[in-house]
Parts: sequence; C-alpha cells; structure tokens
Amino acid sequence: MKEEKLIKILFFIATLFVLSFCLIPFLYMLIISFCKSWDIFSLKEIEFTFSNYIKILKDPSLHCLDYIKNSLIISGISAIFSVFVATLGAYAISRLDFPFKFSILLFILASSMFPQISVIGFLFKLMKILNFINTYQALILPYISWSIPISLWIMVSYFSKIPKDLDKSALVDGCSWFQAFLKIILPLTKPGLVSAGLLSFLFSFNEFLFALILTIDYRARTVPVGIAMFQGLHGELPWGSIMAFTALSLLPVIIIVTLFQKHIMQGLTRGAIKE
Amino acid sequence: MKTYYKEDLKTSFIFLLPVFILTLFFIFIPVIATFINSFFKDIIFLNKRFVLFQNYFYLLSDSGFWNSLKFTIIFFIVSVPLEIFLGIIFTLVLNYEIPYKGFIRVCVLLPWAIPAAISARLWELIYNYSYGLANFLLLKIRIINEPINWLETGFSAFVALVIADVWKTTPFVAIILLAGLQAIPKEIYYQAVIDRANFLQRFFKITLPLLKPAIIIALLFRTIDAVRIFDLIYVLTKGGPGGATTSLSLYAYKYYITGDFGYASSISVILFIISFIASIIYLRVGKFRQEVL
Amino acid sequence: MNLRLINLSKIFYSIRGKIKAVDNVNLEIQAGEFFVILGPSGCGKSTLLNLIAGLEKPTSGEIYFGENLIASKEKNVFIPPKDRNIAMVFQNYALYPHLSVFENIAFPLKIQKMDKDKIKKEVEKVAEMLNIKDLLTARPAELSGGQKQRVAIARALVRKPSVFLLDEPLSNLDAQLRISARAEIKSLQEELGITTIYVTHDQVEAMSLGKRIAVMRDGKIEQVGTPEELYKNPKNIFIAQFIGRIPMNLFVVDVVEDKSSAYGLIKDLKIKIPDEKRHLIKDKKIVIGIRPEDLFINPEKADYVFLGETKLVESWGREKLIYVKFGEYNFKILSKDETFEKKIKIGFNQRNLYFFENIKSRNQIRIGLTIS
Repeated sequence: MKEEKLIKILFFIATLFVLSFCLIPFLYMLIISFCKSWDIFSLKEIEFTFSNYIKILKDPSLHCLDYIKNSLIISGISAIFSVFVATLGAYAISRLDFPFKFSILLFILASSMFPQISVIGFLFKLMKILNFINTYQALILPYISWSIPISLWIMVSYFSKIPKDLDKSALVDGCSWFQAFLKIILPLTKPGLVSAGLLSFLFSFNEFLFALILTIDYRARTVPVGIAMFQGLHGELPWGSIMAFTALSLLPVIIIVTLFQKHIMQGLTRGAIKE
Repeated sequence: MKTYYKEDLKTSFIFLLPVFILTLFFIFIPVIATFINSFFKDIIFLNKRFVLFQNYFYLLSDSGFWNSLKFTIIFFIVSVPLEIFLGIIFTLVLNYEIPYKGFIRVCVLLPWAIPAAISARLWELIYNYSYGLANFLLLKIRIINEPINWLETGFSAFVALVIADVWKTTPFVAIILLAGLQAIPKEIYYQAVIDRANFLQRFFKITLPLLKPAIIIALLFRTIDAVRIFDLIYVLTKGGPGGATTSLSLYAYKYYITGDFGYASSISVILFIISFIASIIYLRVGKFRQEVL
Repeated sequence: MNLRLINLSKIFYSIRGKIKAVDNVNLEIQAGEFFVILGPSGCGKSTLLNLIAGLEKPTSGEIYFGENLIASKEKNVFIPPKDRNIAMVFQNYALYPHLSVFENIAFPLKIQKMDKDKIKKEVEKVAEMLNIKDLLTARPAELSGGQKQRVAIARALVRKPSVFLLDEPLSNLDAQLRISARAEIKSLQEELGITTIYVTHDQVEAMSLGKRIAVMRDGKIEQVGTPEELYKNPKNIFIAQFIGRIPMNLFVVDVVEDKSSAYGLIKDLKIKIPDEKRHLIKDKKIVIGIRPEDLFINPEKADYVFLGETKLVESWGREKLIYVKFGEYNFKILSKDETFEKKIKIGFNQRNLYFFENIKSRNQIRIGLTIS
C-alpha cells in the first residue's frame, strides 16, 4: 500500500501548511502583544510582559474598552433584530401564499451583493438629517438592513426543511397559525436562528465603511475603525499596544468561532449552496 | 363566523413589512439616490445642479478612475483564482479524516471571521520594512538578501494586498467547497476504488468535475466581494503608493470625503453596475430554483 | 356527525397554469361512516381531505358539518381547522420531533388548556388503547414506523374528534405491518363510531376498510358506492381497471350486428352483447372486460370456450397468475389450478362480462397495450 502511505504524508504536509498559513499571523500578533519590543529581528532579547495590555486598559485616552463595548452592543442588537425581522419574513415566504414570492426573495438576496460604497452618500446625509451621526443607531439601522439578506436566506432554507405536514398537524390539533409557529416551527429552527444570529453578529462586528463614515469618536466608533485609526501618541506606531488591542478585541470573535464552528459553517453553506 | 379569504396576503404583508422597510430605506433607496445623484453636480456647500452625464464624461477622461478600474479588475483576476486554488487544497485537508478535525476547522475559520480592517493592521506589521515578519522570514531562508520595502513600490504593494486578501478569504472559499465536496456520494469513490483509479485520477476525474457547481458559486461570491474591496486597502496601503493600489470603492470614497457627492456617486454607479452584472450571473448560474420554497 | 360537500372545487394556480385539483365534487358522508376516498396519486384526493380539514380554502362550493356551514367562498365563510373539531393522521405521521411521545399526544389537549392531571389521564387512556404505554417517554426519532403510526393515531383520537381524517396513513409501513394496522384501524373505528374519511391509492386497502368508497380521478368523483357495488358495477373503464386485485382484462373489439342482436368479436369468439348494453356500441366498437378471477381453466361447462397459448405462469402461493395469448389478445387468468401445458382450454360465462363504451381518452392507451 505505497499509495496510501504517500497520500498520508501528502495530507500531513498539506495540513501543516494550512494550519501555519492560517495561524502564523495570529501567533505573531500574540507574541508581539506580550513583548516589550516589536522588533522581531531581536527576538532573543525580547522579554515577556503584560505592559502592552495594561497600557491600553489603563489609558482612558485610547478608548480601547469603549470601542470594544460599542462593537459588542451594536453588533449584538443588530444581530437580534436582524434575526427577528428575517424570521418573520422567512416565515411568510416559506409558509404563506402571496404573489411574486420568489421574485421578492431574489430581489432581497441580490441586495446583499451591492457594494456598500454605493449607499454611503445617501446614508451619510440621512443620518445627518436625523441627527444620528456618531450614535449607535446610525450603525445599528444599516447593519440590521444589510444583514437581513443572509439571515433571511438562512431562515427560509431552515423553514422549508420543516415538513409542511407539521404545520397542518398543529393547525388540526387546535393551534391558531401563530401558536403553530411559536410552538412547533420556531423550536425546530433553533439551529437556524443561531446560525443567522452569529453571521449577522460577525457581519456587524466586522463592518468598516459605514462605521468609518457614520461615527466620529469613542462614543460610537467600533473596533475595526478604532484599530485602523490607532496611531499612538507620539510619532512611531506603538505596535505592541496595537497588537494587544487587536488580540483583546478579537477575543469575542475567537470565542464565537470556537464554540459555534458548526453553526457558522452551516449558516454559510446554507447561504451559498442549497442542498 | 370569521372571514379568512384574504388573510394570507395581509399576514404575509405584515410579516414582510419590517424587511421591506429596512431594506428599502438602507439599501434600495440609497442606491437609487446614488443613481440620481450621479446626474448632479453635488459638491458640499455649493448649490446642487443637474448636469446629466457630465460626471460620466469626466470619468472617461479621468486617469485616476481608469487606474482604479484597472487595479480593481487586475486585483480580482489575480486574487480570486488564487483563492479558489488554495481553497481546494484547504477543502481536501478539512475533509480528510484526522484527529482534531474540529480544531483545524476553527483555525481555518478564524482569518475569515475577523474584521478585514484588523487583519489589515496585522499584515501592516508583517510587511513592516525594518522589523516585520515577512522580511525576517524571507531573509532567514535566504530568498532575499535585502529587506523588501513592501508597501512602498506599486508592484510589491499589490503582491502584499493579494497575499493578505488570500489569507483572509480562502477560508470562505474552502467552506463553500467543503459543502460541495460532502454532497458527493461516497459510493462514487468506492466505485472508483474498485475501478482501480488512483488518488490523482480520483481527484481529477471525480472530485473536481463534481465540485464544479460549488466552485462556480465560490467564484462568483468572491468576484462580487473582490470587486468592491475597500477595508483591506484603506488600512494597509491607503491606495498608495501614488494611487497604484486604489480600488474603485476607495476612489469613490476619496471623492465622498472631499464632499464631491455627485462625482463620487457616478463612480459608485459604475461599481454597482459591475457588481450587479456579477450577481445576475451568480443568480443564474447558482442553482436558485423555485422548488426551494 | 354527517358531512356534506356541495359543488366543491379547488383550483391551484402555478407557473404551468391552472390546475383543478378538486373539480365540482358533491358528496354526502353519513355520521359514523367509514368513508374511503380512492384514487391514483395526483387525483386530488389529499386536497379534498385538506379542504375538509380546513387546511385549504375552497375556490368555490360549500362544506357542511352537520347543519353548520364550515366553508364557502361565496358566502365568505371559513372556519379555521382548530374550530372544526377534526383530527388528522398524515402519511409521514407529522409527529413533532422536538416533543416526546407523551407531549405529542398531549399537545392537542394542552392547546385546549385542559388541566394537567386530566391530560395525563386522557393520554394514558389512549396510549393504553393503542398499546404504546411504554413508549411515552421516547422521542419520535427513536420509534419504528409502526410505532410512529400508533402515536399519530393516539394524538388524533385523544381529543375525541367528531371527524377523523386519515391521509394514506399506512403507505409508509411495510406490507406485513400494513395488514395488521389496517385491521386495527377498522376495529378502532367501529368501536369509537367516529365519522372517518380515509384517503388511499391502494384499492385493496379501500375495499377492506371502506363502508363506502368514492373513486376519484383528475379532481372528479367517478363513482361512489360500497366495495361490492364498485366491483360488480364499475361505471367506466377507469374504475373497472382500478378496482380488483388484478386489473380487469379489457379489449376493444369490433362489433357485428344482425337483425336481432349484436356480437363482439374476440378473434373468432362471438360474444353476445346484451340488448341493454347495445347503446354502448360506438363506431362499431365496444370494450369488453372480464376479470382474471372469472376465467377458468379446462371448464366443465362454460358459455364461451377458447384454446389459448400459455406464455407465463406466476405463482402467487395457492393461486397462479397465468398469462395466456389468444390470437392477438392477451389474457391474465387467476386460477387455483396449475397448468404446464402449452395449449390450454379456457372458459368464461356471459354473466361475468363487463361492457363499456370505447371512449377515446387517456385510457385508450392502456387498453391498447392489453390488446397487442
């Protein structure tokens, strides 16, 4: 079985390559964040320290914790509403009878492919009129809207996997359609709700352009913009602090991915491929 | 006695209303407004003036626009196939039965899951001329003798962007392809083994052809995303050096922040049309069928 | 409670156009009756059941439960399923996968907000009746097909519905289980005396269960009657072929007429067409039918006898299904006698013959096949 052995070695090498390709930037980030110097050429003399973390946590003028707080609140609220709104819509699309159903679905799905840049002009003016610039709602509203397509698609695919006979059975068993939805359909789509919620959360957490344009300072600015704008106080970039800040703000993402890997992969492939 | 005959229509409308309102106000109306605005001279603090196609005529003679269009196209022509190619390797690894499979999946998901702007910052440090990891490693294994000034020349900045983008988005491709791969019935492989097809034959004669629909979907998703790329470039190169890595999104952005909304809108419209054509192709080629419902 | 359907129609609109799933159906179902709706798949029988249940709204026509109007488009009346006091068993059982067997059965009672102790009592009673007491804590995914079916029936009966609807409840069971479940449903129905409507595509099931049967095709009711009536007096070719264990032998034959009587010709066999059937002759053709079980091998005495050529013998245990060729006509014969001869004598009697008009319809094709 020469071939089998060869394949095994090949896969081992490939796995090693994939892992190091994905992880090296993260490890690099961690190492620098725990070092006094960020010059990798002098790695041997570098000593371990928490000072970078202490600095970003202690220095209120850096607003690191504000950014993280803003991001979590904005993404969390957006995700909850996105899923809620999408679930209602998906139920109508998969269970109720009305004309142009499929066209409406396609239309909404297509909207997720629009470039964000083509809406910011209007969005900026709108938020300015509403006096929303540099507030949470300036970001939450567009984030809900822009994550609706993916949430909707995931929920529609989950709903359509539930046999319609279950609804019928519940109706015959004495439920109103709303009870049928609440007691039978919704509990069965729990994994879909989780997938849709996580993907919307990640979308909002990662979004950059809207946050860049619609926020001004620590009161509403999110992590991606905060880190992109991180300049430090004097001249040279304080890479140790930047990496510590980066590591800290990636913590929620890393936790989510570790805990919900299956849900995320399912949500993504449901969004893309319909089995 | 109750009347129910028109209930479905009414309920579905109520249920879909929030979706309609939100997508209308924050996606569709803004897009339409941008379309309309592209026919105006709309510069901040100045009076708005209808100029029909003037913005578009300017575009034709604007070398900055042509450069960014060229960059955008070359960028996706180079990066997307690379991502698909690496994605296939990733997928094979993800699909292979090994211990700690869950751990490997998490590792592969991570680059995709983090904000692009943050990954750009990571790569900024990696590409740093005097103490970045890239130069350190390349010098160590003696591929180069002199450190490369990654972000300071057009070509190396382009390469740097492609690598960072490939790192960030290959996982996405891999996940899409993995779903396609797992949809291939095992029996086909058993049959192939019985027919004495070796590993390479199995890959090229079975896996790849049957993976084609998934590859097309990944390809189009990635194309749409690559065409509108903004975050990575904004943070990593800021479009430089000398505008060499300015994407269409970034070019439009530069006009937006200087307050020239009309001209920025016309650039956005061009980008929108490119994305729209790509998404139409996607909806056509992808297996979107009515039976889904 | 009796049920009346008056001029009931349901039209579905799809991309391919209008589909008349239920086409002007008139039916009256007696209180306590076991009524079967029989038809091939896609004939609209499930839609008809859904209309009765209130899961679909009629396009036109009326449904009465007893004296109460339940649905009518014209009068803009529609009572939702929850207020109709019906119970339904689905083909795939439609058990709620996230609830245990107990919770599944208790579900209709819980929705009615019955108190807990009473629910427990009722569920246990019905579980006892259906022999599923030891399954109450299981989840639907852990059950076998037969068990699922019992749970589904228990859930339907627990609420003491006034109408009991079953939509092909046995078709997901294997053959052996199907027969015992059939008997069980029948005895259960007789015991409880609930008006029952049972939908199936399986004529054996229909014949053994139904007090009366409605045969449906293309949304229309072709014939309603007791199993006996359908077997003895099928109204048309479709029913003749559909009812009976083995489809009837049907032949389109030429007719010769003399002064007093008419004859159909099966090769050189002159079959007398009774005077009261002569109106069925059309363009000098008529369809003659004879059931496989009414053909005899080596008869001592028969009205008609011919010498056929044995093509194939299938052993069905005690009976044999013999394929016989007589000229260009192929006969299927169900017989207890075995035969190994190449040429056999076959007989049949005038009183067992069926006559139908030769209608140019879809069935033409099927009859054509039996001729060749």
